[in-house]
Amino acid sequence: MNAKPKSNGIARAVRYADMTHCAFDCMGTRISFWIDAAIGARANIAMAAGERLLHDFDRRLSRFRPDSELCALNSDPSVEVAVSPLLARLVSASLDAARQSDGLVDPTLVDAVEDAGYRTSLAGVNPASLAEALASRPAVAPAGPDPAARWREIDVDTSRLVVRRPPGLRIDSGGCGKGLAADMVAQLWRQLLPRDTRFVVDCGGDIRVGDLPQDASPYVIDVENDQLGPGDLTLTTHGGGVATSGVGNRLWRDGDDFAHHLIDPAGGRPAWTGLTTVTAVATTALLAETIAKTALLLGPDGARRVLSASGGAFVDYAGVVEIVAPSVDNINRSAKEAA
Amino acid sequence: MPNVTTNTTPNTTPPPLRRKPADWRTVAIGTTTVFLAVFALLAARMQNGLDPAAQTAGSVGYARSKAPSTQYTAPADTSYLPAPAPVTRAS
Repeated sequence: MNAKPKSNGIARAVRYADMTHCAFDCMGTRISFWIDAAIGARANIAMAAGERLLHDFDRRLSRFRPDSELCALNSDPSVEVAVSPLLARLVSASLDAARQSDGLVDPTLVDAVEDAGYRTSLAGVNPASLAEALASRPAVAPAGPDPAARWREIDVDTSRLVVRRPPGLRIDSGGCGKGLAADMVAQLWRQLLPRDTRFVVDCGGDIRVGDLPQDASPYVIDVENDQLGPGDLTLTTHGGGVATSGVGNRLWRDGDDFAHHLIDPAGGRPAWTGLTTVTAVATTALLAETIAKTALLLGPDGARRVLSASGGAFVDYAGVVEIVAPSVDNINRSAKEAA
Repeated sequence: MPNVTTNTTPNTTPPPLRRKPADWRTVAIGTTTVFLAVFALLAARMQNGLDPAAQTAGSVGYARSKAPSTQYTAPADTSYLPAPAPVTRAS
């Protein structure tokens, strides 16, 4: 069903001393926008445009909406299917993520995700207890790519707007939809807002910020983790994207065991790798999300290697935080070890 | 020829002023308006428990209450507060 946005975001905008803020539900999560209050009413106009973009994104690309373009593609019996520029962009981004992660962020795991119990949107559903899940001591092992690597059977031509894949091979965003959506809103705002405007697009925790000059005060971003207290882990950055991947927010009981939405492509079951969350910083939210998910699936050793390029942090099952130093200059982080 | 006299002097004496009886609807609306205004003022003072004399500029929503009430929630005037930090989290 095509759900119309209930409002345009303007009415809910809240003015703070430094930023105008707006929040709403979309894509099965909570979306938040911040724009420098100094630009006045243009902030409201940009927020309304951003909200429309995200509702359109969700309506057309959700696998939970039977009439979405993504579901139409997945049910099409043809090998070659004409798609919209938006869907072509999502498929292209998903394949990029698969390549960058050597197949760990796999967009063809729809069957495995559904078999694990994630068949409908979990928006508004309280997750199972992470503490109880960890107390059940799931077998810990790094995830690996699917040997069949079926994502390599997908090809997208973004100029002809055509997707080719074996009929029946269903495609999902592979967990990079929210990062892509945050980047798209940021791209839109760069056209609508003055240069160097301070802004934050938060799509359910996948964040893209407006790039700032190095002499400007940086953005401060808190990292949320059930095992940490507020403010225990904080990132600062002058631009780019920040994303967190974790097992706690999409966690449910599966008989006597627990299951979550991060699937080990090699085994087709939820991955228990010794990490509860990984936070990554990168040049875009999409890339940060890809890195964060890859690092979480690899476990501590792989996470140190993957995060070393642009920096990040992870939390293990004992609640211990490990910061991985970035190799770029514009990212500084501060953190306190969990008690 | 008959003697016809014509009184051509206009009657310039105004009719006596007489108050038009008030329409009952006007009376009802006026009374209701006054009642609501007084009621709103009283309700606002009772809810806030504020001494109007103690209110100063910049103290909106945070003036000290003479009779603290656990039900009172300060208005969301955030225009002088820094925005909360964004939070990255798994979703």
